[in-house]
Amino acid sequence: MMSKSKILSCLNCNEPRDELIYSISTQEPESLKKSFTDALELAGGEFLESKEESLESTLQELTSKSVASSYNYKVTTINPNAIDNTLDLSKLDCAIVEAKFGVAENGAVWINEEDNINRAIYTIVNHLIVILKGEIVPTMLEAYELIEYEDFNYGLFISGPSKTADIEQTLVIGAHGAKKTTVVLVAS
Amino acid sequence: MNHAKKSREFLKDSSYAKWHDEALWYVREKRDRATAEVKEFEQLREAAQKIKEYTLKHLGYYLEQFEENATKNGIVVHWAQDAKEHNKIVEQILKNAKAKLIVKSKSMLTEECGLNSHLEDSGYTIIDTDLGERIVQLRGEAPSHIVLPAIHLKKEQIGKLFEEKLNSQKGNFDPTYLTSVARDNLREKFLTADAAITGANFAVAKSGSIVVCTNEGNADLGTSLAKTHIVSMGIEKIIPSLRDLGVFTRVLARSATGQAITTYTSHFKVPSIGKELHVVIVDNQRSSILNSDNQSALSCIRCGACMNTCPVYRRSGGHSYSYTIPGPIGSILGAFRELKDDGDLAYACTLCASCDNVCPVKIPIHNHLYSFRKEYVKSSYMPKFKLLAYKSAAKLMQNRAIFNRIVRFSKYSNPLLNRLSLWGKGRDMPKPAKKSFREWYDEQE
Repeated sequence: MMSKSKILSCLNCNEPRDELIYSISTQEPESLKKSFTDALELAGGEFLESKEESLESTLQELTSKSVASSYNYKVTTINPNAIDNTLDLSKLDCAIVEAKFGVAENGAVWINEEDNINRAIYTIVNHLIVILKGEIVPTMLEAYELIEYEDFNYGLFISGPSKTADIEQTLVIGAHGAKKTTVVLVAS
Repeated sequence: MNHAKKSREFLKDSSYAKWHDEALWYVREKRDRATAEVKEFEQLREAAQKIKEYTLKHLGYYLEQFEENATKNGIVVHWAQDAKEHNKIVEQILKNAKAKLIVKSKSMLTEECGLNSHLEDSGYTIIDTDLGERIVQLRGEAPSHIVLPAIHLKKEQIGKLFEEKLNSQKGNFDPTYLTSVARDNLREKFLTADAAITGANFAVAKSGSIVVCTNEGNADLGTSLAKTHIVSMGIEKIIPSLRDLGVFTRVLARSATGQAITTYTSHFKVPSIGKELHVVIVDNQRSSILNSDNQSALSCIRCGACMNTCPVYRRSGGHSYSYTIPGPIGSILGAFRELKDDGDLAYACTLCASCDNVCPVKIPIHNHLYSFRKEYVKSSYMPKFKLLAYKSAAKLMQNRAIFNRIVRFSKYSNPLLNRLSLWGKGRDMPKPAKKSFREWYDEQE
């Protein structure tokens, strides 16, 4: 605790009396959906649209072997929260997760699955399928307005598959996380 | 060895130097395209600068708010005054967790603290998991860039390294293949690691959460599999609220690599059931920078844009800089900490201010470097011959008669200087006009 007080003694600890004020005028694109799909494709991701009633058959076409999901889709073979061995997790091929909303400017989706205690699911599988039922917001500014008062334990924006350009600036898809990311937009 | 001497080594192979220069300029161009697409980008830079300035002004308040909220979330918060204390705290956490194998995601702070060698000396195995960082770790080198740690290496060098260390196919230098070799090798480590260490891009005071941005997914994979997650963060990483992240996530990746956002922007708030999350808040002279004229250098969000655009960095490489963080921003931090050893970094700069123009938080980088030159000249560390040259130049420039004569003489002397002076190496002196301005002016009515 000595260190804490020593560090804080060099800093201003009083409650701010001045306000932090800034404003940004964002320009909304003509079509949020088109911007979202363009940005997602640029980030290496794949995009599909499905009607609520045909979602199950869309998922059937997308998946093959093992499918982990904490939602009861017909293709679901296992609930990731029931796996406590990391080696078993690593054998999973595909995961289906649900996103709360998408962001048009960068193709990212916001995922925070309250009941999903097995967080490795977002990066350990080869193929990540994201079901997007919510809205698409223009930019990250609107995105954080939506989650500012949200109560989450762990949440992440994901934009496309895992990638790296650490070898001679050559883009390679599939660094440590998913090699393929498909966003399925469910039309309401 | 100072920056100038190390650069000379770097420049010996001129085709390699040209390749390095172009590789970084390519990243700079990607940045330009990405930022031009956002009409309000300048507004975002101004907002980012404001948020950082405001938070630094009230840093103690927001750090305490962060600790309070993080503790409520189940995060254990530690405080370290310097590198030594940071390493000690991390080691103690690992010891309590009975951890042996540790996976680490990109963190320049742990580089600054020399954590790897400290833990290795104590018998721990620590694996860097970012591909670029893993490459330089296998080579026994430091990163040469804060976002692109292996930007100084060609694929053939990496291929040969993997042949030797990871048993890859002989002569296969394809980046896709080499990446898959590293992926398989590191997957094993991820699955068996006891603890994961990450840096922090941002720490949010109001929600008591840590935000980490990666493209590879190494931070998420590492932390979700290991029992213990340790975050090393400098005191300056704090921002007031999630709302402010809307600004930073819009400028960070665009400035860094020209992407609209990194693949993963992860928010760690409450640890998983049965797991531990520790945050080590480190000062290590940051509070001294805060209370100096160089305060704005603490606004840096480590995007690396100043390096990609810097004509000196591009032509001298990250390893020519004596401080952990290379390039323009690193030269400020280095010169501040150790004027004697790193003060010459203030001269690894042409004062062109290109860095100021790309900086997403609008740090007046070249002004800082210029002020360190003044300090360096006044100190006893300045090489004597350089000081003499400066003083003579000042004398000549203050004397109009002599100065005019030099100008008149320059049409003869400049071609000579091209051959003889250091300045003339690799570039030409400007061709003087037939008449100097003064000669022309005197002829006017």
